[in-house]
This record gives sequence, C-alpha cells and structure tokens, in this order.
Amino acid sequence: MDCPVIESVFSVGYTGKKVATTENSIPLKAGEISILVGNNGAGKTTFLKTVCGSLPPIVGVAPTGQKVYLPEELGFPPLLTSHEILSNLFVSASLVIEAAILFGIPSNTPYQNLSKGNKQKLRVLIAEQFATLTRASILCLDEPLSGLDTLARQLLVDVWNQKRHLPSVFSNPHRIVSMHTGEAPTNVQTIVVDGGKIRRLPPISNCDTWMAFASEHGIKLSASK
Amino acid sequence: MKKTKTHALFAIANLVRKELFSGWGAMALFLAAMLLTVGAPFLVASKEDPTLIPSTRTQVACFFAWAITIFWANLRLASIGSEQRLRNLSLFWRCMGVSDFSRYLATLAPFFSVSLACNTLAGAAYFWSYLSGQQPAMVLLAAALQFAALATTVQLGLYFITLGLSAVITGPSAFFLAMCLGLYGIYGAGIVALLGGGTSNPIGGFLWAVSPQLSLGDQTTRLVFNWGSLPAQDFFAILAYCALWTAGAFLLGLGLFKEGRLSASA
Repeated sequence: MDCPVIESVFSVGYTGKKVATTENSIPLKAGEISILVGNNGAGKTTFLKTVCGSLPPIVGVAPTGQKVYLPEELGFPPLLTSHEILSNLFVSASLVIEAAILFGIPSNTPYQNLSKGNKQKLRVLIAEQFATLTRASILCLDEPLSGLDTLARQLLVDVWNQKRHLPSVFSNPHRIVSMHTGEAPTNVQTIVVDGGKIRRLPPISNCDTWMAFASEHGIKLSASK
Repeated sequence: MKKTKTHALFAIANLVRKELFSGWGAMALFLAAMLLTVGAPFLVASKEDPTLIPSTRTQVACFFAWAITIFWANLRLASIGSEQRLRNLSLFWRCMGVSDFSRYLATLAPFFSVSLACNTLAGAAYFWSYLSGQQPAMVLLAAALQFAALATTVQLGLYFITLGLSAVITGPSAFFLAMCLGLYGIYGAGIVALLGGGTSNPIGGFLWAVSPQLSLGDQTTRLVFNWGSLPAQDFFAILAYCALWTAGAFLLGLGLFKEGRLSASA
C-alpha cells in the first residue's frame, strides 16, 4: 500500500488566512512517527486538523484514507467511569479494558475524578484502539504525552516502538525535552512548523531541548504569527 | 469501512444513552416521573366521584409523559449537545469520517426512544383507565396509538431543533429557545392569532398560518374526556402536518448542527 504523502504545495489555515505552507513533500511512512514541533501559534494544531480533514487546506489536497485524530482536550461524559466509557465505545471491549488496567487507569472512577495523566492515557488508548479497528491510514495525536508521568510516557513509547503499524503524526511542540534519548520512539521524523513554513527535518536525535534543536536547525524562536 | 462507521454510530448512541441516564439526579428524576406516569393515576381519590377517576388518571399520565419528554429530555439534550461540542467529541468523530448527518441521528436516537416509551406508557394508562367503560377496547387502543404517534412526531421535531441549537449556542440558551418555540406552538399560536384580530382578520390569519400548530400533536384533551379515536382521514391529515413540521425542524436542526461543527473546527 502506498504511504500517505503531504504534498510539496500544501497550505493550511483558516478561510482567507494562510498560516503555514510546506517547503517539501512529506511522506508519512507506515511504522514511522512524525513529531511536529514549533512555537506557540505557529500552526501545529491547524496542520494536524487539516491533515485529518477537519479543516480544508488553503492550497493542495489532504492525504486520503481513514484518519483518527485525537484533539488535545478531548473529553468524555464526566460521570461515566473509564470502564463504562470503553465498554460503550467498543463492542468487544475486553482487550482494551485490560490494556487500560495495564496502563494503571482506575476502572471504577468517574471520568471527572481521574487525574490529568489518567485522562490522557484513556484518550490515547481510545484513539489507538479506533485507529486499529478502522485500519486508519494516519493517526494524529495532539500533545499525546501531555500530563503523563515518566513511567507512563516510557510505557506508551515502548508500545509505539513495538506495535506501530501505521504512520502517526504527534504534536509535541513545547517539550522536546520529554522525547530525548532513552524515551523517544525509535523511528521518528521531525516536521517543523515555523515562520509560516512546514519543513521536514532529520530526527531529533541528541537534542535534549527545543532551544538546542531550534538552534541547530536555524529556527527562529520568535512568535511566528 | 462501512462496518467501522456503523460501529462508530453505535458508539455515539451508546455513549449518549449512558450519559442521558448517568448520575443519580438525572436518573432519579426520570424514574420518579415514569413511576408517576404509571402509578400516580391509580392514587387519585376514588370515593368523591368515581366517574371522574378514569379522566383524572389519564390526565395525570399525559401530564407526566409531556413533562418528561418536553422538559426533562430537552434539558438533557441541550446539555449533552453543547457538551459534545465543548469536549471536542464532535471533532473526534468528524475526523473519523462519521458524517454530521449520521452523528445527528445517532445522538437523537436515545431521546426518540424516551419519547416513544413515555407516550406509549401514557396511552397505556388511558387504555387501562377506561377499559371497563362504554368504549370498545379497539377504539381505546386506536386513540392511545394516535396519541403516542402524534406526540412522538411533534416532540421529535423539537429535539431536532434543540440539538441543532446546542451545537451553536450554550446548552441553557438552546433549551430556553426550543422551549419557547414548543410552548408557543402548543399554547401561544392561538393566543397570538386572537391578538391579531382572530383568524378571519388578515393579520391574525397570517400569524395563525405561519405559526407551528403543535397543539395538533397534543391529543391529551381527547383522551381525558374519552372522545374516542380521531376519524382516519383527520388523523392522517394531522399526522401529515406534524410530519411536515418535523421534517422542517430536521432540516433546520441539521443546518445548525453543521454550522456548529464548522465553527468548532475553527
């Protein structure tokens, strides 16, 4: 199966307002994780929403096929427990409920009482499960590691390293530090959204911080809007 | 692909159904009203004037059926509809390829079930109250079914509008506006026409013609006074009018629902 490609002429933004444009084509290969980095307001979430079809591109065509997009603040009914949420979302929920227990998500705690980290684990788990069920061609996660403790982050990264079967785009703009050596997924490409441009760069490799990464690749650390 | 879309639709409807009855407050209110619909009619005084018992029972049952379907269900729908937008769930399903149309219907499915159940129960309460009287059972059954069909059709139209509004404005505002429209359609249209000089006056006639005549969908009086079922021709004419109103409400609600999705994704 051909891998989805973001075209070399692809602009994202809102009606009448272009936010960022690609400089080169960006292939999204199966098994590869694309990490999206950039300053606040550079257009990372706009880019994710456009790739997933929630927003129309200003120029170009979004990759086709089934997509799953996890918004940064996806919420569920506050009084339902994680067990109730999963069993109502999935017909065969036993495996995903087991995975939730493995991730340390309390089964019988109402969603509103879950910690920020457990809510995030539940959201990522649901997005991953839907991506598997729907045989998605792209999985986009907006800030998937936000709120997770070190152990949970490492656990998720391990899962991604072992079981990745579809291209994934992760927005992780403010915390490259959380993805440094030892914790980062192994098969990674970096997409930088900065100064109205979307560029594909080599893996983050040895850069521990966004500052170091930006400095190495000549990225301006200024507001890009 | 089709299978996964169906799966997503069931997931949406399941989650809404579960949320509809989540929490003790919501559940207790619903159960209390359901019990009152069925049970309260049998608690009315039976020694003062026994001839009034069936009509009183029927009135209580119909009152609670309308109270649940119009107030409780609409309030919950407005709340759930606006919360879905605020929680980004609409965006999540949209990106999965679930169309607005399908999501709109899947969200409403549990509310349609509640409306149908409550109206059928009220019809059943009427049937049992008058069963030992003069009317043949078939006439009572027909009247009960007519009540349930018309009430459910009209209420479904209101649900469409409430859900559409809740996608663009806050839950309480959506509930308030939908309630204003519903109460105007049931009680207000006739009053406004009278204020305009009656239906024979051009202004009054115009106001009457453009107002939604939702009172046609409320056959409570017919049941309470046991006037029997409507003649088939009248019933189908009223049903056609109510279905037309519901179709219009469906299109308006869907338009608002799509508009809400567009503004949410921006």
